[in-house]
Amino acid sequence: MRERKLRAVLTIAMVMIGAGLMTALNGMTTGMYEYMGAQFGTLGANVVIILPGMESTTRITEQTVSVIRQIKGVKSAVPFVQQIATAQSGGDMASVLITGTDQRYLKDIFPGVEVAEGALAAPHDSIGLVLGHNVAYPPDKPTPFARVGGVLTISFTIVKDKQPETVKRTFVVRGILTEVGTAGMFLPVDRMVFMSLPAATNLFDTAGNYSGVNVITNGPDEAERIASEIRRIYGRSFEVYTSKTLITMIQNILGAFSLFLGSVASVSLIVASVGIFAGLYTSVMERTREIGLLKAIGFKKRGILGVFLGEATLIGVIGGLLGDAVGVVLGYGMAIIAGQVRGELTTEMGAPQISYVPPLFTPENFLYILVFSIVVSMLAGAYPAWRASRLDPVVALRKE
Amino acid sequence: MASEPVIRAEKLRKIYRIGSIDFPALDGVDLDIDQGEFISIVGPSGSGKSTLLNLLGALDRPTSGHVYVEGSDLFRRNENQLAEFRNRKLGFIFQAHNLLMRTSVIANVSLPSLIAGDSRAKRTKRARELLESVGLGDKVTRKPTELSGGEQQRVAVARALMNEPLIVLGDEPTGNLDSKTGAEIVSLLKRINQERRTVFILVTHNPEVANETQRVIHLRDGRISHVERMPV
Repeated sequence: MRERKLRAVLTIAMVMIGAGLMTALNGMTTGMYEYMGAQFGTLGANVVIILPGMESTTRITEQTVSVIRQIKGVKSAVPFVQQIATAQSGGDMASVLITGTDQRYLKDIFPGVEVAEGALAAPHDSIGLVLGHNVAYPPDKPTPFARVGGVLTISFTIVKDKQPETVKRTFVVRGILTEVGTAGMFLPVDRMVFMSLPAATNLFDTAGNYSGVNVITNGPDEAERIASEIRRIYGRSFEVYTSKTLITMIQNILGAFSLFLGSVASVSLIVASVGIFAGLYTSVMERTREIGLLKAIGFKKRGILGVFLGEATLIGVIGGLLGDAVGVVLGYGMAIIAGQVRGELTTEMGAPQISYVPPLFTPENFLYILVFSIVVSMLAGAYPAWRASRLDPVVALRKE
Repeated sequence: MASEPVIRAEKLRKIYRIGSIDFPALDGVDLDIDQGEFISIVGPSGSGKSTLLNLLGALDRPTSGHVYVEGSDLFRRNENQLAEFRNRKLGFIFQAHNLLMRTSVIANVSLPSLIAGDSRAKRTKRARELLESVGLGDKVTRKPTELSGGEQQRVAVARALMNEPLIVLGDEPTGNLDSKTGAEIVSLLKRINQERRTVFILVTHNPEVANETQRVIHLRDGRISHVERMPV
């Protein structure tokens, strides 16, 4: 009696753990999906980004830019130069991503970014800087790194005649941008330092080469069309991205990842099914006499089958429902832990912080997991139930 | 005109095959049982008592021979029809472990009528009446585990009567009880037999039980060795 109750509880617990894990992992990947989707709010949907090809030596130059400007529908082609450098303000140092570009187009490229303090640097300003929010106000420090009107020293190392040489220049902070927040993960505006294009080419001595071009178009459809036009002209010499291709790319990676997590979780439920099988099978063996009795008083095969399949289904329903509930709690717990781990990793790499991404649970997910639990339970219960229904009443009744 | 027997067994044989050896458990049994009879089947272990009861109870099929119940050949039916037959025409009382221990007394008694598809109201009403008549009217909601052995057998008796069966089969129904309680159960069965004219067939090795029945069928080595008619 007591053993039977315990076994039922354990069997349900197995289903619950499997279903819970599925719910949690599903919730986390859905949350991540949603989050990634939101990232691309930072990149205007009407922007096409051109970067040098990964397997190509073709450089992006002023000539490239003028070719692109002539493509029909292109509003403007804004080249940029980007490099990581060290910024020094007073005694503080910070690693920053310097972006030299014509700042009049900043709002087109990063919709939602505003000047919070001061002003943008003019197109030919050779000493003016505009700081991303987190550069000016580091989130992990109580005091601002720099203020409008303050002086910043930018330094970076180049190799000249096989000798490392540190280049150092002093700039003036002209403005500070509003905070973009976690949405700026792929284009970490908050951690960027902007200067004019000539100032950057001069500082980094780029010999007329650009890091890339932001092409501004009239809308998302235009962006797609122009992106394919550019691909047609340059082939694989350049990488051409739109916010849509970026989303697709990231979602493909996430899709593979969630498929992996999903299969891990379903394996746990399938393992649980072995438990259900063992539990029900033992129960059938234990209740052999009871089954014989039920047959004697007129239960048909179908009836016995129904009793045991019903039991399996009930295990699936209870386990699935509990799993859904436990999965929500588990999902939030895992998201917090994952956020902390990611936070530490990204801080070390100097990349933008994605600390906490909340899991997202959809009714479809709950339903899907519940149905999956029930189906797995029923499949696991099928054989024991069938065995029970086939018991010979004479043999079954003989058992004491 | 002699009325047709309720049960007629004809040349009933049941052979168990163990390895390559045939073991005849029943070796040609002919038996007629009339309406309202209260009979017992006795004999040493291995004589075929239980095998005969299983065949009369449609729990098992004979190797050859026939059982006719109200004139119709029992084993022409398929398994589902046999289950239905057991449900509607038979009642079973076993030696022990008769009841679903986690289920209330009244639910245990109602079970056959639940299978038959009767309404809940009808089931409950009849189960209450039967429990009343076996003297357990005050224990309908108890669990069998809370009852004594004798009380549990009374529940089994009530359940056996639930669908107003033609025949009640008892396999050592007093085997697990002390003699006083056993005697009470037997007199309960006798009373029901007299009131309802239900056929009772009891397998027993207890002469005290056999002595209470109208006819005692003695089995030996799978055959009927002799039949005793008891004075009424």
